[in-house]
Amino acid sequence: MRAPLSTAIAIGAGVLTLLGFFIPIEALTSMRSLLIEWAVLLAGVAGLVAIVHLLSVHWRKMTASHNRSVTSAFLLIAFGVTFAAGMVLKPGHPTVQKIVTHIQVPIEASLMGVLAISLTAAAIRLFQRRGGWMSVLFAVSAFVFLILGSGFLSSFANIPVLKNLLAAVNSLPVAGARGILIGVALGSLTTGLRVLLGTDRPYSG
Amino acid sequence: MAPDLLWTLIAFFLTILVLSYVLGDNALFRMVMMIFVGISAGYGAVLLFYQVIMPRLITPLVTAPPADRMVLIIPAVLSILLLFKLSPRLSVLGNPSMALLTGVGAAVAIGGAVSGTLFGQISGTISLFDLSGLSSAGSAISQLFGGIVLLTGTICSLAYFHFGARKKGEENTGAQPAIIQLLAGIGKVFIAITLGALFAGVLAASLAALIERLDFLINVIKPMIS
Amino acid sequence: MSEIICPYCGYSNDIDALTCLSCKKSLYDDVEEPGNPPQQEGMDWLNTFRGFDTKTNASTLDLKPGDGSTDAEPEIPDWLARIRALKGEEAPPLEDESLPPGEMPSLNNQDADLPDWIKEIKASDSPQPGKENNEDFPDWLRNLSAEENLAPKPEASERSGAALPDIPDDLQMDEPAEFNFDAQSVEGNPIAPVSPPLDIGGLPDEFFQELTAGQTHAAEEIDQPDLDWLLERAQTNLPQEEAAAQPLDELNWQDQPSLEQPEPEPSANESEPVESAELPAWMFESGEPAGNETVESTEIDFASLEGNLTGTGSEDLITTPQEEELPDWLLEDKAAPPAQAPEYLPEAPSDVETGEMPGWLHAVRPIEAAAPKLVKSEEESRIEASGPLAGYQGVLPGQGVVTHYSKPPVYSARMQVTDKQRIYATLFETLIADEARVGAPAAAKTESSQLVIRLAVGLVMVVALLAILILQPGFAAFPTLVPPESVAFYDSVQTLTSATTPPRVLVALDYDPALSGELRTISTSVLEDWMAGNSGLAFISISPAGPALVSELVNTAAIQIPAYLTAERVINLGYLPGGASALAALANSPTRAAPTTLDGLPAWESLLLQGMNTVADFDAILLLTDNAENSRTWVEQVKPAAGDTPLLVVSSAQVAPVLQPYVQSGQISGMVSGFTGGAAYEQLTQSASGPVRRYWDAYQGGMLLIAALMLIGAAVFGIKNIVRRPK
Repeated sequence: MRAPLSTAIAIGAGVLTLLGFFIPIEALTSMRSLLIEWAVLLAGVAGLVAIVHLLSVHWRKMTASHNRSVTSAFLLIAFGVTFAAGMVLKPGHPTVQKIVTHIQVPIEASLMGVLAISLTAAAIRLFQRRGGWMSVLFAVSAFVFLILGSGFLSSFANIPVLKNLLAAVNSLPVAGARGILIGVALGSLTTGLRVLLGTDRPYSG
Repeated sequence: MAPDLLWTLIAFFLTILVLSYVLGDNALFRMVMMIFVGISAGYGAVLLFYQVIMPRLITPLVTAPPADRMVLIIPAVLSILLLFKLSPRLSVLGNPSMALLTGVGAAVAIGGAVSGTLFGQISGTISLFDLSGLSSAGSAISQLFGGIVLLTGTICSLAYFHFGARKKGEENTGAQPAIIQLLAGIGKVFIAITLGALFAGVLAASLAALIERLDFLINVIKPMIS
Repeated sequence: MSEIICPYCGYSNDIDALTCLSCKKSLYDDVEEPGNPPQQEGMDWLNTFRGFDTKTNASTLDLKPGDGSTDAEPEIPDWLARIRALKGEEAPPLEDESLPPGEMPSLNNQDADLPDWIKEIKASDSPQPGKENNEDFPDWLRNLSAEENLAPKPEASERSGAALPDIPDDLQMDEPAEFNFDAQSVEGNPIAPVSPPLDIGGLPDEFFQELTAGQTHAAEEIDQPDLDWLLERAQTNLPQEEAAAQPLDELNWQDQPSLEQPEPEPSANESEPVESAELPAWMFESGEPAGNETVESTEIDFASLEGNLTGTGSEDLITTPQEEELPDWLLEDKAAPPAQAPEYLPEAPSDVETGEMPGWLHAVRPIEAAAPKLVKSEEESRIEASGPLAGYQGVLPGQGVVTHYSKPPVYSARMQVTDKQRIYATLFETLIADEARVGAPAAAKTESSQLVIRLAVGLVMVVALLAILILQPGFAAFPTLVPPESVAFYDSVQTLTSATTPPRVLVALDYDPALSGELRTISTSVLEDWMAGNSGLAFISISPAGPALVSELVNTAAIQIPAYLTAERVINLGYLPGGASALAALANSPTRAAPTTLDGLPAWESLLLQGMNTVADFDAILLLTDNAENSRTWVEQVKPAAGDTPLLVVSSAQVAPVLQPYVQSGQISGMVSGFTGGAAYEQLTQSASGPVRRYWDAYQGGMLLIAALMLIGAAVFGIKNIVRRPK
């Protein structure tokens, strides 16, 4: 068996956590709390490891002899400045928060705006390629919910059938979404069981 | 120049540079993306240090009673082992830490899926057929009809994600059973409607973001013009 | 292998040799001396035949009267001599009662010790006096008997081991007409015994040459009739009753106990005559055995046999009680293998005519002795001069391999293609070429059309939105039909904020900066209502940028409520890493999950959160989310721990369909999703100048614009597809 120690740790920790969830015994719930706290701590350290790895990659790209990347320098400089300011001023300082609100937010929001244009263009070309009835149904559904989402029809409350019609139409996605949610939950359950049984070992790598 | 104006101008120019992507990919856009990643990484590192490492590991190891400190040695050792994931040769040393993360995460996911989604959604579907609290027959009929549609849609949507093949004798025919195929066909309809609604929602959200950014630009430019 | 040293010249001979290979003298002349018989365990009975038994010796092997034995020492087979000796030993000599030839001696008291079945055989087969009991014998055997009785012994010197003298006519008349010696030589054991055949005459010399090739028998021995072949023939040809009729029963049945004597002494025993009464007379007429050598010439060379056999003990092979009961002809058969030995005797000396080697012997001899010398290559004849194998011949040269290194063979890299494969490859190449020709222009056209459409759409949308935002036409009416979840949300907020005690709300800021515009816009109205109720707001985030967005959100909402003291009523619990594990930790114990604020101060000791230990202690949980996965996790992990605490959600429009099932199932108490939900909430709160209202015209116009563009695109491309279809 590959990585027996890691497998034992994964299975042991998972089983204890699960038992503490379903069995209301003090010892089990305490163990569950302890393990979850350790998991939160390790998740934070894992985030730090990911950030360091990102920096190392871009450092290598910047210092490479061939195909040197100049834009990686911007990343490293931006990181350095932000990290230094945050470590010195602490994350709650307004200046540090302005870095997020006046640089990160505009960039990300602008990207989302560009997405709106791209999605609209894609919606226009929806019938450029000949598709089946599924694509037609999808396009019709998107169109209808665009209209509904715009609130245009919500302004006509005096039409008696409209309310029930809108309620009925709005309830149609709920059925599909419920099926998707239950399917996702079953998938999570299966995947979690496979990890607890040792069948899947994503940590041994 | 007021600091706020400076920050505003920075935000303004960054917004313009990013919106220039509509015209196509360019070097300025890529530069802005790198700055964005760097700032995100830097702020995230600061947060992790001050919000996770310090209050949960370093401070308790220094100030906590000896009994609590002994308990903290285990996550401390695991945290150090996790750092070895940075080295390709020594990355196997970080496997125990990842194993604990994975095991706890799997157990948490199982508990949440069972008690949070499965029980809740099944009980929600059943509650639609509870007509006791309804006053009129019309509302009861409409609710019942809605419940039937919802139940049908839920079951058929689940059937659509069934990918098992039928075995006939010694051969795998690769075909689903007939009843599953029928249910899956109906489920396709509900899923197509749901995906259409999701697409419309994404459009709406992105449109809202575009509107907010354009409004920001206007608010920056308007004082300059006026 | 046992050897016999010649008493005359000292030459070492094979154990079963009768004459010395060097001096051609009999090896067993000295019958007085016991000699060195090969002593094998349990072979005492055999030794009696060899003349080594104490009771039998050479002197006992007296020829029968009328044998014609002379001082010339006629050769008789050794076995015969031994038989005679044994007979004479156990029975009184029958000299006075000379039996006519062919007459079987009667059984006297000698038969008292015989087994009953042998007695019966003897009784049934005992010949009538004066009557030849040759009726059961084949003719050749009868003739042989007659010839032996009448024919004189030829001189040993006349024979050279190859030719036999002719049999006188008078002998031939009474003897069986023919003695098919050839048949015997063919049918019998091809490996003839050492003893020469009987002096029958009329047989080709070549036959005798075959049989005696390589043999160095003395002339005397050759002249002596050898009845080994007879025994062999008897084994193969004689039926059983004939075998029974043979004077075998007269043979050494009585001598069997004597065969087991441990110390065979040749001389004394051999002197005793064989019980001739049990053997036909002709068997004894070949003359006195020339000492032990004749007896021994037919002796079964068990020594060599023993040596030839592997893994078998001589005692197991030879001395078994059953063998003592076996007739001599069967025992003689065992002597056949040792007869192989003479085949490997060294070549005869020059004075002895060399016999021709039979063909079968040619075949079995070693190749090196017969094959011509192979022409050795230089390498094979080369003697190694150095190294550990110096002096050896035929050593593979090491240097030679290196110095004689040749260029490695060059293999053709050309692929062998059949005609059929060539045709298929050509066809495939044509298909690919056609694809490439068609593909390239289409790809370029698609890319440019995509860019054009995107530019056009962007231009239209940006211009339209900018115009609406700047002009603020006000054409978009606020929705009058409000979703039920928005109503439930509003009711929950109103209920909590109108309570006497200001509520404490856990606000989960779980959205990215990308949709901060939408959520900030929607949440501002909600937070204004909470702030208007002087609610305590504890912000927490599971996304890294969340803590930074809290201040912006709070500052934006607080502008409308100047009396709200954000420093006292708002606390930022910071960032919680780990996703589902973090929410599970929060639901389990929020004091341990988020112990400090963003500034590092102890959070749960503050005035706002004093006395609170679990999430259920909060009056409400307000989730601001744009992520379906995170919102699902909040519902799964935190809501069960919250109990009756309502979970209120302000979501982006993109996750509203996914959260609707939770709303319908009651897990989410109320939800405001998107600008539509925000507008509905503001409608419910009757806020005239809410942030959503500012953007409502642009939002509704934009949504309708997108719908219209979709419709136009569907119409254009749909018609295009319809028109293109007949082609």
